[in-house]
Amino acid sequence: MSVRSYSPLGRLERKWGWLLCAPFALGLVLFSLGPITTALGLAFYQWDNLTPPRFVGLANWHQLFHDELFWKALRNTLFYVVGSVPTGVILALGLALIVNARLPGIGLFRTVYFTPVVTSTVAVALVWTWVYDSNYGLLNYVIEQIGKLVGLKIKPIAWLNDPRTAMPAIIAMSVWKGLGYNMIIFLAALQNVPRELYEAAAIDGANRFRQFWHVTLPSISPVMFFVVVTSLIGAFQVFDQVYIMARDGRPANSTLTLVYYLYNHAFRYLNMGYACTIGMALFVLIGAVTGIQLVLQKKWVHA
Amino acid sequence: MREASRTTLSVYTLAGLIFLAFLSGCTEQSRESRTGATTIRYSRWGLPEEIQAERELIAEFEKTHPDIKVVVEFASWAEYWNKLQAQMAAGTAPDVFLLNGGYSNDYAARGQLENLQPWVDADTSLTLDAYYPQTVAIFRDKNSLWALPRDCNTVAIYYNKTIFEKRKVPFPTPDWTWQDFLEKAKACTVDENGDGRTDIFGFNAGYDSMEVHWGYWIWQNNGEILSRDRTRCLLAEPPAVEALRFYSDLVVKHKVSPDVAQSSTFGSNMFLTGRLAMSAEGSWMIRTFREAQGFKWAIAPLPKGKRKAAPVNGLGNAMYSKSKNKKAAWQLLKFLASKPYQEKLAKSGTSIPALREVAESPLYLDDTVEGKRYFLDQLAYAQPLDFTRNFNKIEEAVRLELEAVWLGRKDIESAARDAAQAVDKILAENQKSNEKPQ
Repeated sequence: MSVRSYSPLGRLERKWGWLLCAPFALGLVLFSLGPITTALGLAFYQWDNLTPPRFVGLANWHQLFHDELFWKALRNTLFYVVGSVPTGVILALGLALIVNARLPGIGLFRTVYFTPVVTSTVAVALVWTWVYDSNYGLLNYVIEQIGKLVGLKIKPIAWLNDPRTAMPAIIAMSVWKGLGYNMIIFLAALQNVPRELYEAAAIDGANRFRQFWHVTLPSISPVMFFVVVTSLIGAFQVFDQVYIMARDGRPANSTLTLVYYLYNHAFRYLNMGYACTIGMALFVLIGAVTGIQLVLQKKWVHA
Repeated sequence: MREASRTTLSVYTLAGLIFLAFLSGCTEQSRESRTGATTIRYSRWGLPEEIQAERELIAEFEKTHPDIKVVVEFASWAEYWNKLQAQMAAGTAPDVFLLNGGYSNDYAARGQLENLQPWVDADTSLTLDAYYPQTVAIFRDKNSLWALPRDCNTVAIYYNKTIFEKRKVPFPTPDWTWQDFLEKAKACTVDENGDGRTDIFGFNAGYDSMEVHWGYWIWQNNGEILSRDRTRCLLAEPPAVEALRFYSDLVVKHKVSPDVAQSSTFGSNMFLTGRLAMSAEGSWMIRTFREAQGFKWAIAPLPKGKRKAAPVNGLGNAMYSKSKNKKAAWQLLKFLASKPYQEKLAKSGTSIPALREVAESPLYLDDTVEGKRYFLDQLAYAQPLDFTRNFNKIEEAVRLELEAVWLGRKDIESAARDAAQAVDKILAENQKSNEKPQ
């Protein structure tokens, strides 16, 4: 197992290794690296998908910096990121701590919280559109009932049709949907924290909170780092739920995100070149944010 | 040893599966070419029922044209254009495809569409005069014709007779005016249980579509949306602003129409659920409203402003300019515009056939739906939308401004002014790209 030699068997294994990697490597080159390189080039072209691309130098970039809608989409996206990532991570950790308890039937709860993750975003978004509906929606109904209990008449809120509430509503749904995924990852990390550390801490007189702060958090910090990075990248690329719940950035472009704006230019306005420019800007943005995190992680992640 | 053989086995299985997948791809290709017939592809969007009907019709075509085999491809409305554009980009668009006026200018300008005029000229079995002239006009550009007409659609008022009767409001008459319309809408708007919330609205004033929602009000007030030469947007001119004010007041001032919250997501459903007394809808909605339960409904023409005006929009079938089987494609195109096909279309009740004699025959008109005749009456004066390149972008620019009014964030004057400005910018870009060599 541990000895690697170049025996005939070893060589055979190496061959099989490459062979088994091939489908993934091929897919990566064909469907990821290829398109990414092409998109990088196209960011400097004007291309309507149909006639040959025309080189325009930095014109797309010039347009980008003067494009109000791009900045609007960027602000909306940042709002989504800031609104969804910290909430999502903290709630997922909390949930993981709860379902980590060794109680009978806890498996059922773990499954229940994970269900939204395996449901398609489109289906979830459609259902939530009804939850948020101003006339028949479940959420307004609940609020109204609570209002009645305390003797208040609360007017129904048009969650998805008010520019002030539309994005927060989408954020809430996305957090709910993604919770289970991060919860499972945290759960796995929690179960890997050595019990001896807790015992030692208890002997040293640490209460539950101090145990959490000084044992649990440092122990799961690499996983925390992973969760934050992947959540951030995912949040920057938000598209599906916006596409279903708030077509065309409704209302008043308050839900127009970067990827939605990119999609509009690529497939609706016949502006593939400009869409690639937006894509590259997003790529740079995500790269920068991830880079910053890689630097900062040295301060808080225990290897 | 056992371990190794199991791995080998699974690798072989995987490889075998991949091989099979390739193989099946190949056989499909060879099966088509082996029949000796010319294979062409036809693509359209549609609902499942329409698709089933289309399959049967195409089977009929194949019977009368044994030397042509048609592969029919479908996509939903939302996916159709993306798919078509991707296929065009790859040079593999279908030989024949369904097209609307909104996209024909964009595709034609990029050399994707075959000019059908020479084909029409060379074929004596087809006369364009037999079709509603507007359906031809939509696809005509100087001496070019980009599609053969298939159907035409217009917009009229569908009204809930049960609500009218209950509120003791007289039904709309064929020559009713904006004022009549507003009075009826007011009379039908009601808060039934007195909870301070309107339960039934007189009308539903949407702002998404030039065709269904806001365009014809402007025409009825002697206004224009775009200048004839498509270089200027005229939405900020007094007649247009006046019309838009009347229309937006339905929501903002008179509150006879639901606000953004209710209208944007559940517009047509509100009529189906009996919460709307009147709704402006396309002639293609008949089929959907047939499902209405618990109330009776009928169709009235659009009310008249300073003049009568209505939109007409039509679909056509186009030929891909890079098709390798243009002769066979032409045969299919002719069939899709022919009397037998148009008759089937009439019977399906989804759209008004573009072939006049069929539309005005009992096949289309003999129907339990009351007032269907008004659609055809409107076609006498209905006008095509102001189609130009980037039409979708134009509609969206206007939509955004109207939405601000509906949300109560802007008054209609500044919205009209800003919309005109945004549209002018798009039109200027169109001009610029026209001058550039393609």
